[in-house]
Amino acid sequence: MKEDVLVEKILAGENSYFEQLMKPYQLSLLNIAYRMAGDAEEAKEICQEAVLKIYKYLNRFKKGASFKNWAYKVVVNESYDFLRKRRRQQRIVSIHKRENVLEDSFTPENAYSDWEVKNALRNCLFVLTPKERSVFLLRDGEEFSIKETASILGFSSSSVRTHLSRARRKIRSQLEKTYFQEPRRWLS
Amino acid sequence: MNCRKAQRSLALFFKDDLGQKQREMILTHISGCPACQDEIARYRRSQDKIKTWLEKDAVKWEGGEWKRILNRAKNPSEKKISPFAPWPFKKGWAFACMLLFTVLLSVFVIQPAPLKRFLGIGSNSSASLQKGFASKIEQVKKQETILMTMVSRESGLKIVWIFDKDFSWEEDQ
Repeated sequence: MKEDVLVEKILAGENSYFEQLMKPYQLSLLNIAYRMAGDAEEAKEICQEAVLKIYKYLNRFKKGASFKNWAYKVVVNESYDFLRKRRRQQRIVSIHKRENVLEDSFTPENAYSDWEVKNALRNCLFVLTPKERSVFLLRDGEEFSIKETASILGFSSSSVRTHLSRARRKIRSQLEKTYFQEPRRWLS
Repeated sequence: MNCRKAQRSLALFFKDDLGQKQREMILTHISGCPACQDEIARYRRSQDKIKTWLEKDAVKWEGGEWKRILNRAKNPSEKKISPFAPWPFKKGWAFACMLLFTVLLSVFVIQPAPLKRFLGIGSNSSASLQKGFASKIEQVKKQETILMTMVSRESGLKIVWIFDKDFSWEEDQ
């Protein structure tokens, strides 16, 4: 069933279709929030708020537009709000929490490599500003076009290009500085 | 186009994110520029690495989390399910625990008088204590004079102060 039809049915009161509408995006939305926040539990919180907003404001969804883009827009905006709040409260992901992540995943042999990947990715993504990060994740992570990225974030195409170019350059230099020059730290 | 100008746009060029005109200009330049070709290869390599990591480090919903969130969206009256609030720390439970703690604290530590009277805890001891205080006060009221003595260790000198009711005193050495 098409997303437009599903939205209409939900708006008509058949809210059991909401699950069907959201199902294809449950993981991608969670992961974009995860990359933006840098923490799985916080990402779940962001997603929860975003899903509530999607349902609440479903009547504002324009017929014929892409539901996927709209859902991403809500999640990214929610992530911005969350990051802003976090900065205001000066709440930093505690070292204790990171230690727990390590302890939880330390049983299998490849756990260390997983943890290292997690850290390496975080190091690269958190070099970027929230705007650059969102542009980079949508264009390079989720493979949205420049135009789609611009419409999701509410930027102009040229602004998306500027942020994207800056983000790619920063990530490349971070990778080369940290991971590509020392053979011992090379991650496969 | 020179290398310096071209390299400003290579971050966008390697993934075809430039406009047609600019793209053609860069294409003409890089066909004869190994340095810029190397730059593009480096961008591609970092892009591939990040892509691999993004695929490797993905999170998933656990248990019924996703369903609970959808249900909460559909029934907004349902309470918020926060991952930071497992059941013992939900508001209701927290309030009940606090109430119980206050009651226990007041019964066993503070022991307010009405409660003690009601429960009959320590009534005898407090009555005897009150009696003792009353008799002391009576004694002090009856007493006409108060004696105070000081003896020096070195010289054995002894000073006695005698106070009357109005605290006027006589000295006797």
